[in-house]
Amino acid sequence: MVQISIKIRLTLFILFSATSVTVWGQRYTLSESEISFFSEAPLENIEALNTETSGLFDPSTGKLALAVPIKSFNFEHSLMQEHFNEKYMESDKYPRAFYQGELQGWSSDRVIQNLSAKGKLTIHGVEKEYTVNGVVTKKEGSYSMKGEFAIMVKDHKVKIPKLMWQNIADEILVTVNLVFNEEN
Amino acid sequence: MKRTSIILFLGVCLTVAAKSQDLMDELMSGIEDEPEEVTSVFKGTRIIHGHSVKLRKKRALEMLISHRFGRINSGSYFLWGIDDAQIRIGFDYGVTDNLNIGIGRSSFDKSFDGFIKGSILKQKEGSSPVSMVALLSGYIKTSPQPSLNPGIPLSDRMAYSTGLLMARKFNSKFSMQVMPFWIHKNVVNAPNINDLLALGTGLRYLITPSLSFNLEYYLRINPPENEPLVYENYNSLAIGIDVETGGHVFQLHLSNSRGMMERSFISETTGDLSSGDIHFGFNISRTFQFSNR
Repeated sequence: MVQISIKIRLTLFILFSATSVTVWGQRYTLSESEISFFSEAPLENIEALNTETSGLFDPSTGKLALAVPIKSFNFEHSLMQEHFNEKYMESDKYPRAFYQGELQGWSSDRVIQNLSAKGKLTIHGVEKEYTVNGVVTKKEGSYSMKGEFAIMVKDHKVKIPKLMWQNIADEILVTVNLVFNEEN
Repeated sequence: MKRTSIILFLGVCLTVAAKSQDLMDELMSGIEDEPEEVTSVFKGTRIIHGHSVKLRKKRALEMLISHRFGRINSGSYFLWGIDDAQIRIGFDYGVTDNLNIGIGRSSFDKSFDGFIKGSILKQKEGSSPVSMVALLSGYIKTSPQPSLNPGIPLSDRMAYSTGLLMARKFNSKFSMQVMPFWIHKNVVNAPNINDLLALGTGLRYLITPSLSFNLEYYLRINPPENEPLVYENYNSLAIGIDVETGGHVFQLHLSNSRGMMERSFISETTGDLSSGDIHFGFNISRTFQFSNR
């Protein structure tokens, strides 16, 4: 009797381990990323690039999740970077921006597809729905995604002091370039 | 069989749990937060008169224009000191993120100054509670005029200061700095002394993200006795605000000191606070970034 129950337990364990693996689905991890933003302003254009994003993509559902470390946005002007973190984004309080979205009309088989991603973007602790148009290209063991969209700083409660108005535009253009690789 | 059903039940629960956990939780479970170096301990490279632990980044050039006006208690004829300004124009440059050099010219004693400022330690959770910066400065007085006074050798015109700046950002608003200094002057007239030790304290409190209140005080440890009308020196006290507007920092303050070099404000502060000898002054800083690429 004891022997049997161990056997049953073992079988169940294997069975559930197997089930949970299928539940997890396929995971592609972000291996290369370039997220940049640009805003035109009368005095100086503001431009920064981030290559430190973490992300996961599930080709079976078309869902993706991204975590963008704010302090990893690199500006050419070091003082601008400091102000970006300390004064506007409050990076100590909100160290990351998050994106959780789903590709609309996604098919894991097509080589190139123009589609949109619908999802929630959390910046500066404030969540907002975005629809981003982009292109997804399938390669051997990887998917690359490109997209572009605009963010209004006030949508994310980023306060810009009055004295700074000449330096920062209300609208920021964000360009995203991602490559997801199959997990080994 | 009872046990088996419990296991079965637990197994189902676990599977359900796994199912409801979304991609974001899965992503975040793989990310670990590493402690980072604390930044923006002070807004400017100067607290008021003296240096803060802040360094300019690599290839950044800061131009600093400072004015110290006459005594406010000098009266309306001198427009409360505004007619009489001492000026320093200086440049700080980031050789690396951890090493800055700078030069300056002060109208006071027609002096030149130069310094090397190096970061020794950076405040970081888990590794260091404070930031530490070493500051070495040298000064040359060019008054009295060398061509008319060939008898004064260059070395007689020189002075040095050595300081260690230790600061801690307690929270996003409040930072404090303690800085021991040693001022050496090659030649002095009695009762002035060649070597003066001082302990400085500085603090800042952020009122809004772009505005801070600052205070700076230097306690002289071995001050020479004051002799009325011959030699009168006091500890330096300054209070002020920093207003930051993009690439500029405006610092406005009131102080009993007029000097803009450690030599002058630590060891040559002539304003007596008890008689109301207070000067208005400001620093304007503009930072330029040379390409990092």
